[in-house]
Amino acid sequence: MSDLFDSIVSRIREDAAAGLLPGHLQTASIEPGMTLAELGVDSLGRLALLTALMDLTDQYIPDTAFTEAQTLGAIVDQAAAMARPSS
Amino acid sequence: MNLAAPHSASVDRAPTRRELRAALAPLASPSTAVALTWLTLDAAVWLALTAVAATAVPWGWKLLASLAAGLWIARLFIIGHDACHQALTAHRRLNRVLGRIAFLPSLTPYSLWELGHNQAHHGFTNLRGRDGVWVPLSPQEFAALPTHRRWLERVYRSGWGPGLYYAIELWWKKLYFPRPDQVGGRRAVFAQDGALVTAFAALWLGGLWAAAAWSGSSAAEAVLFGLALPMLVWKNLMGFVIYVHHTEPDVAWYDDGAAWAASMPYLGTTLHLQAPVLDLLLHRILQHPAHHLDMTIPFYRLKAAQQRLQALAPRQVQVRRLSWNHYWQVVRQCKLYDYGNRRWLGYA
Repeated sequence: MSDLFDSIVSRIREDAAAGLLPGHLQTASIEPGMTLAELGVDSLGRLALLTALMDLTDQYIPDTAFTEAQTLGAIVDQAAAMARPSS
Repeated sequence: MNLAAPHSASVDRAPTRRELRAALAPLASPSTAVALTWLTLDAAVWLALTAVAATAVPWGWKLLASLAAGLWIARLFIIGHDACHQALTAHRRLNRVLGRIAFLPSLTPYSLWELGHNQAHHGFTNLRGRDGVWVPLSPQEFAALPTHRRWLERVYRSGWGPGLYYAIELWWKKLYFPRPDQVGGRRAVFAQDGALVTAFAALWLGGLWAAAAWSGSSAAEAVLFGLALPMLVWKNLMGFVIYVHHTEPDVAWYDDGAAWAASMPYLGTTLHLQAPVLDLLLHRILQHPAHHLDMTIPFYRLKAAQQRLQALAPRQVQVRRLSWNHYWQVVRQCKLYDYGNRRWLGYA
C-alpha cells in the first residue's frame, strides 16, 4: 500500500473518531479494494475524503474522482496521479 | 528555489502550497501548557465580565462589562477554532474536549463547525458550491430572488449586516440543529453537540437569574447585559471578520473548480488585514493568509508565520490596512459578483 493510502486511512480513522464518518471505521480493517459503500461512506463522508485527499496531495480533486472510481484504492491512485507534477 | 531563506523577492514563480507549508512547518507545533493557560485565563475573564454585567452595578459598568464579554466570547471561540483545526494541543482527543468547552459561550456546535469550516470553507475557500461563507450572488441570481429575500441580501451587505448574516445564514441554518439538506447529511454527533450548547445556554440563563436574585438586580437586565448584548457583539464580530477576509475587489470568487485550483487559492482568496489592536484582541486571527495556508499553526505563532509567508511570497500575499474607510469602500463595491469575468459589482 502507498504512503498516501496509509495517510488517508489515518484521516478516515480520525474522522470516524470525530463522528463525521461511521464509528466502526476507527478500528475496522480498511483495504484498497473496498468500495465507499462497503465502508459506509455517504455524501458527507465523501466530502471528508475529498478534503483529506486534497490536503494530503496539495491538489484540487474534482468530484468525478469519486464517481468514476469504485474502490478506495482506485480513488487514492487517481488522486496520486493528479498530484504528480506534469510539467 | 530555497524556501528556507527568508529573501525570495527574486523568485520568478509563485511558491507552491507544499513549499510554503514546508517552510512554515516548524511553527505548527502547539504547546498544551500555553493552550490551557489561554483557555483558563479567557474563560475566567468571560465569567467575571458576565457576572459584573448581570449584577447590581451602575449602568455604565454593566454596559462596559457586557460589550467586553462579547469580545471575550470571540476570544474563546478563536481558541476553540484552533482546537477544531487540531492546532491547540498535540492531542486530538484533548483538542476535541477543549474545543467543545471553548465553543460553549458562542453556542457553537463543534462537529458542525468542523464540517462547515474545516472541510467546506478551508478545503474550498471562495469556490461557490463548496464554500458556504459570504458567497456572493450573481446579478441573475439576485434578480430571481423574491422581494423579501433581495431586501435581506441588501441588509447583509449594507455594512451593518454582518451579525445578522452570521446569525441567520451560518449559525441558525448550518450550525444549530440544521436541516440535513443544509449540511449534506445527518450525524448523531451533530445532534449531541446541538444539545450540548442548548444545555449550556440553559445553564447560562439560570446562572444569570441566580446572579440577579442574589444581587437584587432585575432578571431581565441580567439576561440583556449578561447574554443578549454579548451575543450581539460576538455575532457582529464574527460576521465582520469572515466578511472582510474574503470579500474585497481584488479577492476573486469562482464557480469552476479547475479555474479555482489554477488560481493559487491558498494565497489569493484571503487578505492580510493590518489592525494591530484588533488583531491582538482577537488572538491574531487577522494573520489570515498564514492561517489559511496551514490551519495547524496555533494562534500564538500566527504572527511569525504571517511574517515568514510575506517574505516568501511577497507578490502573492495581499496586504491591506483595515480601516473604517477600507471597510466602507469594500461594502460599496462588493454587492454582487460576475463569475464569468470574475469581478465584483454593485447593485444595478
